[in-house]
Order: sequence, then C-alpha cells, then structure tokens
Amino acid sequence: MGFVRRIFLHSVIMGNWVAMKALDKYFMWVATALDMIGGWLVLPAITILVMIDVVLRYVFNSPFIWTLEFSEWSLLLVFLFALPECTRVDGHVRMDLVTNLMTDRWRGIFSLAYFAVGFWIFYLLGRHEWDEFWFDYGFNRVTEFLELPVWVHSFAILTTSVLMGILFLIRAIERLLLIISGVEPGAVENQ
Amino acid sequence: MEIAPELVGLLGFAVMMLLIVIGVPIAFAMLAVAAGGLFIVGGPVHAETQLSLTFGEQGSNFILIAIPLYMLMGQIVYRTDIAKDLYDCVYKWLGRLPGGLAITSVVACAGFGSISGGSVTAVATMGPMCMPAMRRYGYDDSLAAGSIASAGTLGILIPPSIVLVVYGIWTETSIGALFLAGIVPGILMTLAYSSTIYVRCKRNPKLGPVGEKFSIGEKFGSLVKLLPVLTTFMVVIGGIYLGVFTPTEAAAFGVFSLFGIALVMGRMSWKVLGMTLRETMHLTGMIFVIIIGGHMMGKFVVLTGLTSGMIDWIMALELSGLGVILLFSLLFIALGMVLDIWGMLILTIPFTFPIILQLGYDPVWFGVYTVIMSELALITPPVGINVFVMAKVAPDVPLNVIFKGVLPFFLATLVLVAILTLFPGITLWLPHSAGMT
Repeated sequence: MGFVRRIFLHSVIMGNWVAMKALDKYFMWVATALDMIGGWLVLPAITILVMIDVVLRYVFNSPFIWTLEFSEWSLLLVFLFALPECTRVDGHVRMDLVTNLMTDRWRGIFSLAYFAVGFWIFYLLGRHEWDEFWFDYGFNRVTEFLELPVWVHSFAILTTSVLMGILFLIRAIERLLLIISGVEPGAVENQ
Repeated sequence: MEIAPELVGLLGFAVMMLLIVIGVPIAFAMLAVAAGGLFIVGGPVHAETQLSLTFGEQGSNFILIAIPLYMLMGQIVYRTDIAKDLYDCVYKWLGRLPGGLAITSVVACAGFGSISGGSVTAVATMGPMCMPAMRRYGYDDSLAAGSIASAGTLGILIPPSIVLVVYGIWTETSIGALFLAGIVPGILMTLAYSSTIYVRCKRNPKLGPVGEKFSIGEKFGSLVKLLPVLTTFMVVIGGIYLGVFTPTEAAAFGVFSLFGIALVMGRMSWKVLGMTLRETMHLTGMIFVIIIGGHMMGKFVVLTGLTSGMIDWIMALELSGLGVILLFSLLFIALGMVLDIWGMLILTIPFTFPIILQLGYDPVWFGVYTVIMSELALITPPVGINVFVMAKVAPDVPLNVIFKGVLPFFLATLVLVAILTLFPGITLWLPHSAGMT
C-alpha cells in the first residue's frame, strides 16, 4: 500500500512539475519579448531623442518641449520590461557566502523565503496599481504635451506585478515539489 | 499592543540581514522589510502607496536614463575590442618599466573606466588580455591576478560611474559634480597602484620582469588606438565640465560616439548589438530594483526614526569629524567583507549621509569617499567579486593567492583615502573650478 501511495504521490509531483515547467516556458517567452521591446525599441528611442534634443537646443535654439516628458514616460517602460527577464535569469545581486555552504535541500528551503518575499512585494504593488489603473483610465488622464495616456504606466506596473507574481509562484511551487519529493533539482530536470 | 517605531526599525534591520544571509537578493530583502515596516507603522494602504509611488517616481526619473546608457557604453567597449586597442597602446609605452605589464593592466583598466561605468566588466574584459601576457613573461601569479582584480575597481571611481550616479540620485547631489570630483582621486589611485607595482618589482625583479622593447615609431603609431577612448571621454566628461550637457545627455552622446566608432571600425554587427542590448537590459533591471529598494529603505528608516536615533548616538559619542570618518571607514571595511558594493551602499547611505551633513562635510567629497571605500568590498575576502571574476579568468591560480596579491593595493587605497580625507580640496578642486560646488 505504501508503495502504491508513493508511486501515486510521485506521479502527482511529476505531473505538477511538468505543468510548472510548461508555465515557466510561457513566462520565459513573455519576459524575453518584453526585454527585446525595451532593449531594441524603447532604449534606442530615448537615446536618439535625448541627442536630437541637445542638437536642437544648441544649433537651432529650439528644443522639443516634449522630450523630457517622452523620455521619462518611456524610461519606466524600459525598467519594467527589463525586470521580469532579469529576475527569470536570476540576475539580482545576492550574498551567497552562507548559502554556498548549504546542501541543495536547505538552499531550496531558504529560496522559498525569496519567492514568498517577491510574491508579497508584487502583490502589494499590483493591488494598488489595479485601483490606480482604473482611476487613470476612468478619468482619461494624459501627459502635458504629448497627451500620452497615463494609464499605460499604471497598466505596465500592474502587468509587471502580475508577471512577477506568477514567476515567484511558479518557482515556489517547483521548489516545494522538489522539497516534498526529496529529489535533487538536477535529477528532475533530466527526467 | 503598539510597537515603538524605533523598535520596528531595529527589528526590520535584523530581519533584512537575516534575509540577505539566507540568500534573498539584497534589493528584495530591502523592499520586503521596508514595505513590511511601512505596513506595520502606517498600515497596508500606506505601504502599497509608498511602493507604487517609489516605482512610478523613480522609474520615470530623467536622471536615471543615465544608468542604462552608461551600462550600454560599457557593453559596447566590452564587446567590440576597443579595450584591446587601449591595452596594446598602453603596453607599448609602459611595458618596459619594472612590472610594466602589470602597470599596463592598471592604466588600461583606468582607461576602460573612463568610458564605462562598472568594475566587474573591467576585470572580465582586461583579465583575459592581461593575464596570459603576464604569464608569458613569468610574472608572479599573485601580483598579476591581484593587480587586475584591484585595478578593476578604478572603473567605478573614474567617471562615468554608475555607482556615483546612484549615489547622486539617492542623496540628491549633483551627478556632474560627482563625476568631476572622481577624476583626480581616480588618477591618484591609478598612480598609487602603479607605484605599488613599480616599487615591488624594482625591489624584486622576479615578481614582474620588463616586457619587450618598442621603437619610438611603434609607440607613436599606437597612439591612434587611443582615439576611441579619448574621443568618448572628451565628449562625455568634457561636455559635462564645459556645461554643454547634463550627465544624462552626455551618456546619450557617449553611446552614440562609441557606437559610431565601433561601426566605422567594422566591429558592430547585429549579433554584437543584440548581445550588448540584452546584457544592458539585464543590468538595468538589476540596478532598478536596487534603486527602488534603497529608496524604500530610506523612507522606512526615516519613518521609524532610526536615522535620527543613529545621528543622536554618533553625536553623543562626541567624536571629531575625523573620528567619525575613521569609524565609518572601519564600518565600510567590515561590511565590505560580507556585502557587495550595492549592498554596502544601500545599507550605509541612509545612516551615514545625514551624519556627514550634520558634521559639515561636503556631500560631493563624501560621495567619492564612499565609492572608494565601497571599492574595497570588491576585493576583500571572502566575497570580493572582482577576485572571483579573476579566478574564473585564471582558474589555476588559487583564490588565496589572488587575495594575497590584492593586499598591497588594499593598503595603497587606505593611504589614498587618508590623504583625501585630510585634504578634501584634492577631490573638490575640479568640480569647484567648474562652478559646481
């Protein structure tokens, strides 16, 4: 009976693992796409615009009045678009002096704290941005010169928060499954 | 039961340290503690609002455009062999000195720093170039690896510097003034490191034999290779010094200059551009969360009265200004052993900066001081990241040998800090002459 139960548990864990991996793949696709848009489109656009503005200021004594507005509006998008991919590839600065001394299992257990903390931060942020988005959208708030919709910002923060929340949730479930099954991460990846 | 805000502050600090130790990324640990603290002190709506405000305000702060752009500059230099040209030129001029190849590495790292804003990139770029050359000439492993790992730190002092930009944003200090203030100490540190190598190799030539000889024609011919670096440095720093543009605008022109040069030299392909932009985005995401975390933490320590408590405590010690700086220096050295540069800055600035202002020190001077002290975090054991990067470049050199090689440079840095503290005019002269302080 114990054997059957173990087999059943293992199948459930593996099933969930595969499902999580599939979700992870979708997340990767979205995060990479956002990263590409930010890197190939928005960042170069800001760079070029800032330069053109300086040239216009000195050569024609007539800079655009909307450069600052557009640059600031776009910069937030660069940051937000960079965040999911950076987090996905584990690009954040951390102190691994102590964790390097731990076994994989303990490292896995402690990494749950990171996922929980990350989820909580973006849950708080997302909750606030939900209200903010409807407020900006409802009042049709726009920027001063270019009349760019302000709701795009709250929507971008909201979307990033949701994405980050999902990422942390996927990672936490994956990690939990590994801890429960007692399988080393490398072994499951190979299956 | 109501908890005193100061107690929340102290508990928050302890929780943050715990989270950092168990491997939570530093920025996330700060965000969580700050949001949690604001949640407890001001309620859930307050915490959510502050989080949202910080994301929105900082994410659309015009000055912050400089960060991805300086990152981009560093990536272009890294991936288009401009750094190799710089090294070749410096080598032809300085290679014949005792320890000439190591001195070349130091000067080339300083040159690299003058057109990029990071430290680790400098070691990752210069290491694979300098290390094999030094080994060919039978350089002592410790001196060779130690000099490159230490010289990499010059990148964050010599402008443009990402760390100075972030310091400027956090403390609302002029970034242009900080950039100019970093130049003289950067040059002095380059000289200090070079002199350290020269003296050691002069006393014991086996440590670093002289390199090959070049004719005057070859030397002058190599100067052409300096043009990309010189042009970009002149555009960025010259533009800021002359007041032609702000550091943010200078960054855009710096990117344009390097991109144009790389394109003309035939070194910019779609593939290189793709890798450059992708890596820039990763680093941008990382720095963005650090900035947000730092800001949130700042709000938290102010709200809980932790900053004012700390100021009162330091003031009650009745230490002189120099005494406080000595205390801070010891704190930086101790923290540098367990934290990386960003962790150190985030943790210390909310406390140290108000105290420094209270004591009447110049915030620009303190910025340079903080950056130099934080640089030590990159080379001190056990978490000196530059040393680890160097160990990847030269896997057969044990870590302890590299750390041993770093020690003379560590001491040279401390001597320089003492000089800059006793004579703050050295740091402030250039921004003062540009009318920025």
